[in-house]
Amino acid sequence: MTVRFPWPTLETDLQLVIDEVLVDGVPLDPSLVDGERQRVALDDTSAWRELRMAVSIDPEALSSVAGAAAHAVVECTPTNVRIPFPLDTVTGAGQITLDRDEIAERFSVRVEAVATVEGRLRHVGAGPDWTAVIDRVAAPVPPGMPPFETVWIDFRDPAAPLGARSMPESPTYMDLQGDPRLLLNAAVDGFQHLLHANTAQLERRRLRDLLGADVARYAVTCLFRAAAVEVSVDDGVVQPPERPVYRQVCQAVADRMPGIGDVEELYEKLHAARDSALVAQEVWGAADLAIAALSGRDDALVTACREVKHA
Amino acid sequence: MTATWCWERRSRNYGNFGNANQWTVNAGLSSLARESTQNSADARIDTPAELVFTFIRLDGSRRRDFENAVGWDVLGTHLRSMGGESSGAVTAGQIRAGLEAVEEQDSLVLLRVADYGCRGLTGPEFPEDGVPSSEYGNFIKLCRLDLFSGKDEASGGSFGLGKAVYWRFSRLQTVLFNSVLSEDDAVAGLRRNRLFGVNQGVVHTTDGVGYQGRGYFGDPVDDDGVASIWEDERLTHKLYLDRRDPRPGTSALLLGFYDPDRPDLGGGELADLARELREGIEENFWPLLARGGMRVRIEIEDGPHREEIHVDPEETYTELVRALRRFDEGDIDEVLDEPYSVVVRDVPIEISRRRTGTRHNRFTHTAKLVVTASDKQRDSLENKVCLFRRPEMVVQTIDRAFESQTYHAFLVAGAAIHPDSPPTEDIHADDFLRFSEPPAHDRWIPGPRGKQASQANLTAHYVAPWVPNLRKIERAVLDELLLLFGAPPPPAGKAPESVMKHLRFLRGEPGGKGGGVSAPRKPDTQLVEWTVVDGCWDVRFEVKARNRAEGWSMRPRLALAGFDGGLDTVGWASLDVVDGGGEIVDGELRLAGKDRGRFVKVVLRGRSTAELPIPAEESGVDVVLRGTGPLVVVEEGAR
Repeated sequence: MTVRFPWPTLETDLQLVIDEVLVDGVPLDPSLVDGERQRVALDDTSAWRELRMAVSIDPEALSSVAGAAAHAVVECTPTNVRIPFPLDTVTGAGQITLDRDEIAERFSVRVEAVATVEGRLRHVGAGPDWTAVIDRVAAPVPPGMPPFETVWIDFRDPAAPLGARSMPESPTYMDLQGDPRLLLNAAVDGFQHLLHANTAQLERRRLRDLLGADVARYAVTCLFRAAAVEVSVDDGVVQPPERPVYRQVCQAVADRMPGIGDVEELYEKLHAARDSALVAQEVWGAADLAIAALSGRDDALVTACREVKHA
Repeated sequence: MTATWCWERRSRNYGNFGNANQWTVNAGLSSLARESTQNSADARIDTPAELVFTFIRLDGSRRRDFENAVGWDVLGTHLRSMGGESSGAVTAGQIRAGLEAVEEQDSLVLLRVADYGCRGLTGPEFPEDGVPSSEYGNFIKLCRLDLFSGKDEASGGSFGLGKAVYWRFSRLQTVLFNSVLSEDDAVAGLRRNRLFGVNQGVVHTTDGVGYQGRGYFGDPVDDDGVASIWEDERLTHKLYLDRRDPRPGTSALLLGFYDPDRPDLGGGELADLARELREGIEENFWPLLARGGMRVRIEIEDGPHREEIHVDPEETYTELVRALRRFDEGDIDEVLDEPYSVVVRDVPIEISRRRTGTRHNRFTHTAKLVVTASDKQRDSLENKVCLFRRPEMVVQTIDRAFESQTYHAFLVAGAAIHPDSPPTEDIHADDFLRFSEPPAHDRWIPGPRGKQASQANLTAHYVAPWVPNLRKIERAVLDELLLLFGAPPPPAGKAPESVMKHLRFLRGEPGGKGGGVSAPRKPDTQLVEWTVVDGCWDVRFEVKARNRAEGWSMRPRLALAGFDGGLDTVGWASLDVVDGGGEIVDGELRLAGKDRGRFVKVVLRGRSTAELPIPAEESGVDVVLRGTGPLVVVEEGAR
């Protein structure tokens, strides 16, 4: 979504560059500043007291709106902090200085531009977020990594969660007590070998694909139902789920669901479903279909049927 | 004495239209290799024994001389009469077709199968009243009886059907034999060149006289007997039945050799036939040959052309031959870490209680699964477990491929584990497996319904159960292979790719759109112009959607963004299409699919109502799409 305003705004997004990071005066290893993914990794640094970041933008990007000025805005939800740091209108450079007590887990840095338009100070532009991670647990999922932990465990094992132990023959269990964990039952003979058979052929491949997609469907269904519980209304505005993985699931499901325009509409319907059986039937039925397609179950089934048609 | 053909007069009480036994033998040179090699292997008295297959093509005068020697005048006459019975008998039809083929072709193809260092055709001439069946020698069993095996324990066959292979591969159902016996087996002091012939024909009438099906080539004796001819070297030479090696054994000469599977190929390329025969022998008898129990040679005599092929399975099945030799030497590895390394695993086989012959209680026999890592040379036995027992012929294979490695393997069972001095229980196990084999000796493990192995022999000798015992062999072998080659446990914490590949859409930045692999599916909208007019938002926006047959319907809504980031959607005072193929019906935008093009686009213009939750001048704005779905045309009266 790109919100437009009735007053003049900048023609392009503002790109913030982090030129240098000093931790207690010591330069941070440049490899920990990822310009492509816009991430700063601070979780490996030892205890520190002060963080300084030299940042800059291209000052020409402000020229399309007269009198525009930019700030690098630090936001940290855990500490409820939002601090603007001005950027020089001529050079585009600025400095962020943060005390360790002001931030926790992770924070974002974004450039925002304002200008006086017809006597009123207006927001005229912004740029994409940088994410700085202080606590590894709070780090966003690195690209290529699974979004939650997967654990093979015998569901009869006392160490297994109660939900898994209550269904010891079940092949899967999604543990949502803490961070989401997908538990796969190691006691099901051949299950682990089959799911990990990356070069399986013929019958084994088909079975592996069907089972793998079914496990994925189960996992997404659990995440989606948990996400639906977290959808809330605050001051008349529907709020998305707290957890990032839940928001991702909802976004993906919304993209697939018929009758839904975008994820915002999905949140509205999930909230409405609590009070209306009709809405509930409609939205949950459509969501199940979308999840089946999203998790690849439908594709795996169609492929398997086609292949064995003349077997 | 003069050798001649004789058929008994037709019986009033019984008529035989061919030997049914031959239908138990599969066609194809692999079958010929199995049955004939097994016959000779069972008769071994020397180690190594020798087996020589010779393809002989006779033309012109050589053919005429042979036909004179074999009494073709008489044989041919009777064969023609048999062919005349073909409307009522399959074998007669075969003989007629075979005779036509032989007479039409310029050359006559013979196959001579000669073994050396084997028992030979021992024993008395006739199964007479005073001769107990235990004293029938190989001569009577081969030439005068059907379905009598009388083979020792731990031998190859048990049905007495394997000998039918000779007639199966003769167009004329006619085979001649020449045998040399050991001193101990001499018959009335005679031991050299015991010559005899058998035609397994059909009941027929020649010159107005009715005859039985089976005819014999030899010395007529008494009123109704035909006996072997002894020590006529000149005749044996004319009949191409010379034996160059003085050791005892038998030579069989198949007249009009052909492959029943390919009757038009019989007189064709002898080299191709020789190659196929060699492949069949190697694939089925590599254990026997690897252990030196027998040497096999294939010869071609085609006019002046002579060729000799020594069958050596180590060329083709290098891994198996080396593994067997290492197993025999006790040279075993701990792990399979490189080509030709060898490991051994125990495979239990439950042997049922035997109630005949050498009786015993049920017990557990430990067969040995020998597994070796393969080299890069491909062959027909990779990723298969060859099952064999004392005769050292591969009975069947258990086929199982693994993703991680190519292997060769065999299960050595029964008396084959310690061939030089097998313990009694190993011999008992060998017998059990022998009796579990069907007539073709190509299976231990019962197949699914319709492919069951013959149970007749087991029923006769053992107490049930045996079917689960035999089925467990395959399961036990596969379990051991799985332990060796099954997928190793994945690294701790590694998620299965078969699951994770479906969850890649979750691997994006938190809170952002999922990093889906597929292209955007839902229609998208973009503001082109936006302005506030008289306190109302006036916007121009484009909707772009994937072109699809079922089209799209959706409800564009104007969304006002507050400072808290929340969105309020508001109604339209007006909404119209200004460009593109869509239409607005009751606030719903309808986009039909097009015949061509990847996308459908429409530009709309809308004005908000004046009653806004946030003054237009103070708010941000965007257009969102609600209720997106296919374009469904509802007919009047429909629900």
